[in-house]
Amino acid sequence: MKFSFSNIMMVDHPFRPLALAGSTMDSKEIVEMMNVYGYLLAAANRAEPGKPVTAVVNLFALGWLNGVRGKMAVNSFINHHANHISADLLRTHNGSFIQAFRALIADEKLLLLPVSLSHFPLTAYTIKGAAAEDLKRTAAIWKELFGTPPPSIWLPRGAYMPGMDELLQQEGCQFVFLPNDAFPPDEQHHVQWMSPRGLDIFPYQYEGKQNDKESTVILYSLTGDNACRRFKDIDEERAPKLDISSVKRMIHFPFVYENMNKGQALITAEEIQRCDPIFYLKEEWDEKYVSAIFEAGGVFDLEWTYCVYASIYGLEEELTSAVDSLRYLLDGARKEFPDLDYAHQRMRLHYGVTMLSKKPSESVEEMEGAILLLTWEYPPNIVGGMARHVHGLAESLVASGREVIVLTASHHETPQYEVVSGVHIYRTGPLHKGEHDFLKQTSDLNLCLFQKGTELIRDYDIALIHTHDWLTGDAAVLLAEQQQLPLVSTIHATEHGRNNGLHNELQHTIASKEKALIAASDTVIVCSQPMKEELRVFYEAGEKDIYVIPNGVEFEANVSTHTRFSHIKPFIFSIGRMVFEKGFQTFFNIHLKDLKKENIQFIIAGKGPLLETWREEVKKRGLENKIHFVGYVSDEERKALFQTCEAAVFPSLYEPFGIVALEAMAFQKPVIAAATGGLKSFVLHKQTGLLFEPGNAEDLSTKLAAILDQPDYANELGINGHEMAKELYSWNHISAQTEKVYDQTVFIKKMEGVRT
Amino acid sequence: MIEEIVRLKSQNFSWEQIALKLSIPKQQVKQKWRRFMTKKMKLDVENELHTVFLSKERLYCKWHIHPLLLKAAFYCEKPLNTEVLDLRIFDVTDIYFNGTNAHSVTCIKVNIQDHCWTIKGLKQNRSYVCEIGYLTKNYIFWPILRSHPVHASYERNTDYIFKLRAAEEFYHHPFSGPSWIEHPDCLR
Repeated sequence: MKFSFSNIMMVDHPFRPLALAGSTMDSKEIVEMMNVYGYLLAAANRAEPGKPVTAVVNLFALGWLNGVRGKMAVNSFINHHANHISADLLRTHNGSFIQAFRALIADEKLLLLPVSLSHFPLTAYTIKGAAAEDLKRTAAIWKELFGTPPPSIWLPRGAYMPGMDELLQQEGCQFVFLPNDAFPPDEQHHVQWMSPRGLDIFPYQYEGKQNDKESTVILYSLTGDNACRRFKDIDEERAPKLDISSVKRMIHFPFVYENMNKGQALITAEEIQRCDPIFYLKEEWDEKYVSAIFEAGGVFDLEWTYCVYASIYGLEEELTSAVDSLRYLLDGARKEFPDLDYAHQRMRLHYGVTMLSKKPSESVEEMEGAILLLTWEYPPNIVGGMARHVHGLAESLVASGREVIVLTASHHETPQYEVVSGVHIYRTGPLHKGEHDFLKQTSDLNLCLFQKGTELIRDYDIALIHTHDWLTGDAAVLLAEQQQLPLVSTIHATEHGRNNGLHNELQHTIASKEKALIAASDTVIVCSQPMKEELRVFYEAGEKDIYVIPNGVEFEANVSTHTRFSHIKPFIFSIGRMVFEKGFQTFFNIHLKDLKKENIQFIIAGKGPLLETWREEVKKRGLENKIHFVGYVSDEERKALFQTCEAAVFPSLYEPFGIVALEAMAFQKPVIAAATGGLKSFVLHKQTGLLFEPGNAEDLSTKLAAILDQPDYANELGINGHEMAKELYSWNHISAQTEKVYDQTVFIKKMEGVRT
Repeated sequence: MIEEIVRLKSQNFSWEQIALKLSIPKQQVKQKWRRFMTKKMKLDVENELHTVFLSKERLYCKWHIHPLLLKAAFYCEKPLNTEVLDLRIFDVTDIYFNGTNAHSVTCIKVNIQDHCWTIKGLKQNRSYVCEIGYLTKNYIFWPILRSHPVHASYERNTDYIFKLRAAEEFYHHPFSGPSWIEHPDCLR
């Protein structure tokens, strides 16, 4: 196979995430994907620098390969297929296709460009603005993956009309490929075409499919020698023509698409109508988007675009699933209660990009200057979870290039100032360490922090103050007010929530301090949606900008293992609401006798309408010693149960995301999950867990036996799952989101300044 | 109430001032205004007539007329038949179309329930604009919505020469704007 810039490989085999979600490393989908993209890598790797292979790629697929799932799938593929054509190259790039592509692009061995994301012909959209947005989205994903604007964007079916040159230039494109139907055949060898806006145009023609024994790519060829001039070296047989001086010639034509002159249609009315429901969906959400919380914005865009993609390719099953997903997110956003966990999961597992959107029509510039983090505790002084939280945040903020100054209470035998992993740490106060009155001691500390803070603001170029909980709230509020700095506060927990109401004076005083802090903050960060609601209801924070940045699952080393159920051993654990769609009824029909570990029992926690029904069912079947519906369990108990179980089973018939399964993974437990929705997206069969057919008790029994009979295997699955959970909720992820909040806050504060 | 809020808002009163004037909480003012605006926006986006090329000689028209708009139109001008709309395709090549000066016009009767139509037999290198409306009692065409103009592809691929001068002109003096029809998403 011979490739060069004058031949364009269209590396585009339909992206089917559902098929990929249920796949193992030997399944057809993964093998095909590895072949298509692996062969491109290999071809580019063989190319001589300056004579690059040109390829057009599907960004959905590239994003998936960049996502948590994709990376895992690639790694396990190359581990098991060590001789695969791309294995060596991928290994040198940590199994990352994107890194490998980047390296080849830098060496001028590969010229890679994306098809516009939806693959919908950009002249045929029947909603205004969709074509421009499609290009914008394509470029945004490209920038996220490759760090630069795309050199060009391939136009689906070659559809082009004037004005699109401007849209492409706005996204940073330098040239565009257009079908040769629009160009005069006699002249094109001598001229370099250019649009009236100065965008270089290279005519191409369809060459046909090229079938290799391993992969199929569609080949196009550039029809003018001019194309080759982009790179000084060209194929040998074309070299002699190099000396023809290229003449730039302007060209305007009203409309073109592939095979136009052969009388073929660009698109059929049926194809457009098939997309109509999707287009309407967009109209429904444009207005909702305004009120939706900004974090979910990117996922809307991508889900919608994928719906268009699936629709134009007629991928029925994929379309249904993507529409469901989008509707689920829209429903949440409409009720101002978007499922952010699910949204983040879709982005990180499915689409492999973050695409954090900004508020519409306001572009936020990255803030300059340092961040002053105020915290009650910081390692080595660890009392609760906050020290770990601030520590993780501070270090990953530094890793992403921000200057971070931590200001915290003094701690015996630790210096007043030190730099650890790039974080400047200052420690001061309280003056009266021995004070018994907790509130007094806190006020004492705050005054010390305020004084030191004033000093630090003088010495450092501080752009923003970020405080954690009310304990350092007073100092933060005073500093922000006095120095006119934006204030962000993270509320980890509230007094109201901790005590289930406010019952004494101390609690009231603390709550009033919390209220004051929230009121004075420009932006508030909380870890969960319920927390956000709590602030709105009990803390009069209705008008505040509250951002939810999930802490995700906790990775706790020391969890007590004692519970009310310690006598039940060994056991399989499951938890969820007692409703039909959680599928706990599947447990009744598993073949308990076939399980070699006959003494195994099942603990199923959670409350809900079906709890009593199921308890009765257990009695009716005489399974009281086997299956225990234990009802509600506390936080501590839940953790202990995860910690001590043999495996966790999630038999849901329907599950939009399934964070509990991720939680089980955090405890390094093997997970057996029904192959539904969200569960399927991170329980990778035989890699990070086992999947079974939803509702199929027989299948579940087989998988249970597989886990119970092979402890080593179960252990391996648990470890892999743990890795994935860690990857999904890493500090990098959390700090990246926090940074967006900083930028937003600084921006808004600035705008306020302009207004007044 | 909402008219009052909109009026005050358009006169640049702050939320606090409006709340004070109307003696309702600020949050309610904001909420009412936001609801009204989204509703209004929805009305705007729901009325549309789009035209896209399916091939070089076929044009696909898709429209949506909000029932309120239709009602308003019928109120202004009584329709001949409330069940039938008129889709018209005007050839507007090289003219400033004013409703009466088209080179040619094609009329298509569509059912009030229809929302799309494919027009065949477009001529090459001509500009078209579509309108949807109806015939009034006096048999006069009464337009409701107009589409974005479109320009059919050239007949021969050497025809680019027609606009070569204009293209070069635009390249050197982009501020005067292009003298041809562009993609509707293009800002100009």
